[in-house]
Amino acid sequence: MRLTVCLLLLAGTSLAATSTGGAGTDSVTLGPAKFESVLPPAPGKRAVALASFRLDRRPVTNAEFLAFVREHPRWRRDRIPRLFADAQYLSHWQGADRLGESALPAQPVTRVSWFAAKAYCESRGARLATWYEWEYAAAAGPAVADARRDPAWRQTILNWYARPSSKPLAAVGQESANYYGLQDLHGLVWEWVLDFNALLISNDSREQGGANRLKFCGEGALSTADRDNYAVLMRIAYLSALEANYTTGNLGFRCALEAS
Amino acid sequence: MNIGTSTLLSFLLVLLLSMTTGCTRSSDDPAAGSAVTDTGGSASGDFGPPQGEPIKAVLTSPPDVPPPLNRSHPAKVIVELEVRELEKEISEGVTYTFWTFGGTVPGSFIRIRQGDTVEFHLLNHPDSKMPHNIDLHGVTGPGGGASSTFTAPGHRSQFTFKALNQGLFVYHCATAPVGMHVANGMYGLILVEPPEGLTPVDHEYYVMQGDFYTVGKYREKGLQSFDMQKAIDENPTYVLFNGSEGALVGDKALQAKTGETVRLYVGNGGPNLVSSFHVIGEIFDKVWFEGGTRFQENVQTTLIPSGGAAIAEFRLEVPGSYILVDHSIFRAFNKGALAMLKADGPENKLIYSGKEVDADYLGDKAGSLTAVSEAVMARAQGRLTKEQQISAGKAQYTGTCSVCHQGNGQGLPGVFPPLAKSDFLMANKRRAIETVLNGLSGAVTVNGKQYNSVMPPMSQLTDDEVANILTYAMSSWGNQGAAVSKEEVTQVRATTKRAEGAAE
Amino acid sequence: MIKQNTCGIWVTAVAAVAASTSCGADTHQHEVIAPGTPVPGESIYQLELSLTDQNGQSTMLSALRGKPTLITLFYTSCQGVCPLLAVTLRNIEESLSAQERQGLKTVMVSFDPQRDTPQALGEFAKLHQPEGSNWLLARTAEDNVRELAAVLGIRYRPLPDGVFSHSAVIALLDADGVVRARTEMLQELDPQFMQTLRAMLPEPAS
Repeated sequence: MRLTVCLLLLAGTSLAATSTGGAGTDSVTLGPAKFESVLPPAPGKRAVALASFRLDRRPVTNAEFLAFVREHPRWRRDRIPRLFADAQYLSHWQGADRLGESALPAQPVTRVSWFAAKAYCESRGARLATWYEWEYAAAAGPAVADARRDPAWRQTILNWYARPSSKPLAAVGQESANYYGLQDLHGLVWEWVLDFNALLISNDSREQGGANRLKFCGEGALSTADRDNYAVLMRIAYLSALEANYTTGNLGFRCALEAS
Repeated sequence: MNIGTSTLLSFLLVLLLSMTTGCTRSSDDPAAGSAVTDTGGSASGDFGPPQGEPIKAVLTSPPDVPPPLNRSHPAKVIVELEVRELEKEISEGVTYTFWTFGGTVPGSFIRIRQGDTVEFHLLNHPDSKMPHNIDLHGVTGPGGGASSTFTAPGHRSQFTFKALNQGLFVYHCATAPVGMHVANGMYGLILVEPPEGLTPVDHEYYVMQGDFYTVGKYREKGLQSFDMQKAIDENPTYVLFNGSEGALVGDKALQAKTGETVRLYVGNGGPNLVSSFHVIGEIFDKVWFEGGTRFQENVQTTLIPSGGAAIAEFRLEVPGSYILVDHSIFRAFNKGALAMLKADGPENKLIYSGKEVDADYLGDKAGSLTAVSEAVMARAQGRLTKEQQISAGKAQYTGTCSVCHQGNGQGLPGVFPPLAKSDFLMANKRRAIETVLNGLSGAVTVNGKQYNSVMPPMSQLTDDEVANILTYAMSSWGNQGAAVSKEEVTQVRATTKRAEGAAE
Repeated sequence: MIKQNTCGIWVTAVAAVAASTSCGADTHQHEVIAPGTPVPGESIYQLELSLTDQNGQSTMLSALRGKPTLITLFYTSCQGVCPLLAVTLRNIEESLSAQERQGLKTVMVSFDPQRDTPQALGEFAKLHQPEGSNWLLARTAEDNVRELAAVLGIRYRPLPDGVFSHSAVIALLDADGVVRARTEMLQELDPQFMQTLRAMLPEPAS
């Protein structure tokens, strides 16, 4: 896949052909599964049932997103309405339809909003992964499906936070694959999920399960079950800080699809 | 009946106490009063709407403090605080990715007046990986501003509060996981001046303690990651003032002159430890304990809780170096909780005869840093002499080796072998370097006597430090050896193995 | 004249669906939208989504353009905060003069398109809207709900037992669909929100 991207770049042709189809070969089938989320679906209930789904092996790259933007010019940074992306949208690209030096083709695309990520996946006949799907896929270590209790695995994830983000992002697909053959779920970029605005975490994390019940109808703010799983909690904190048109230099995405 | 009597008794006691204080203290000094008077708390902290044009708050990096406000009316004050995630030095040759308010640990010092309306802007730099927020302990309202300031990278938030309570308050990030954000350095101080201001002093300084948790051992070189398990276990690798071992020593020591009064604004960010804050060789004339309105006088050590602060004031009478420590003393000498205040001025032998301030504590680091830094500088410039190595090595020997081998190199008979005129030491330079780096256990014969104890690896020392210490030891107490170079140590470190768990 | 022009835009921009409901009620239009003015970039009317109201009629979201609008998300079987949302909307309206009310629209969109049929929406409206008001209660496809919630800054998620956990937010849109104020204050009126709202409405006749 990456080889193809390079060859096409050398040839200087349109990259439209490189984007993987909705059910492309560069995705992996997971589930159906029952698993325990750090976000209990309801009070007293921890198990989440997941239908079978397909998930991209790697985050979407600059090259792939460029092809999308060329095909769907309304998602160019000079045409997109503010409602759908803030002013930093694709601002590291050299031009509205050119990558340039600070956005290498094989790097994960970042500075994309939820709307843009969603539209990209839909253009492939796919969709963004849901939080539970993402969490399930990302719970895997290199050799086991659920590495969440492994202190070494947790520390590897935490080490990412120790690396300052001033350095350029690596290309996708450099890290070794996890149990399912998925790459870069940790340690490269944050990723949008379809239901990012379903994570009803209070803005003040210490309020969990606390007094502010009126603010959130239903069961109140989510309380997190697995409080020492900091690596995942930080991701939830991150996602809950976002609005749909936000973009940041460390935030990318990958697509998912119902398994047929 | 019983209850009635005791109530009456305590009432009389209070009456008596208040009468006594009334006689001995000037009655116009509210801070000096007993519990009888109070400042009215938040109920008396609203002086009406802000007057005049909005003022942009002066923010300072530690150890500096913004100047006194000298303002007699409430104002609208605009505070802009930017969050940066930065790799900075935590100890010599050791870096850490700090999360900061304003680019420093602790974060920028904020100074406002009671009754001020503060328009607070939190900016999260676009390069940040994490969302952040701020909880100011000086804010009245749920969360202290935390939920109003939850901010994604590349975005900004704003909220407004009225500062109803005077005092010195901690602020910190409260984003999940809160402990990690705090452990990475996200705290600072906000001073809410009483309406009448504070009495002028000659120097005001900003010092804040924090505990840090790295995967690598103390002083293990390179970029170190946060260690969650150590943080949960409350077992810090470093305990530091102002976020770095070197923050307030050497050229960066706090400065004052004899005859001057110094006021320290001291905070403790934690996340875990409570500080026993002490200045070696000084007695605090006044401590506004817990950062509150009352002061205690004549204090040696004051307790500063995690997420708390204190104001300490003292007049300097005698010149010299005064060492600020957390008097939970292993933290000072083995984890870095040590800072320095240098007082210049003429000696006053009537008050203090000698030069040493506190021999027991100074030994490790403080008094000797000059020689050490001279050697570091000389080496960098390629003009390091054996004499400089010996002076620096002596200082480092005192901290590291003298506990066992003794200050005079004689060791302890039958337990710790001598270094003075030691045939074992002088026979083989490489073995000497190996012994320092990798430790030594099992029987050895030194000057004809057998010793059988364990020397731990000292691999946490830098190559420079090992070279200096050995040069000193091999040139002292009757030993006449050649200098040991840093390169020789580097070579040994690279080619030998250390026991598991030792610093590399 | 103005009225006609406004209708014209709607017809061209949003297709004929819009015309009947919106233009007819549009007698108190005071924010003049020049013909052909594109929708501002921050406007929620950038969303292309269709609503089905309590009368079973379909309308594009962007057809709401023209008047300041109170908008919120809710669902009819909600036992907790949603009735309070309705009460708050009602309290807001009742604090306004008749003339001010004429210049304002109130829209409630359901989280629960499966169960909130036009009939269920109609009953909810009858129960809660003040006399003489014409609230628009509507449902839209599930994916549209997610997008609408996203632009309004509302967080929600379905729970296994048919309940929705959601933040309770009332947003105030200007005539062009740009969010000008949001409030999470229920029952009581949020003074700042009301100030922004009043500034958008026609001056009460004195």
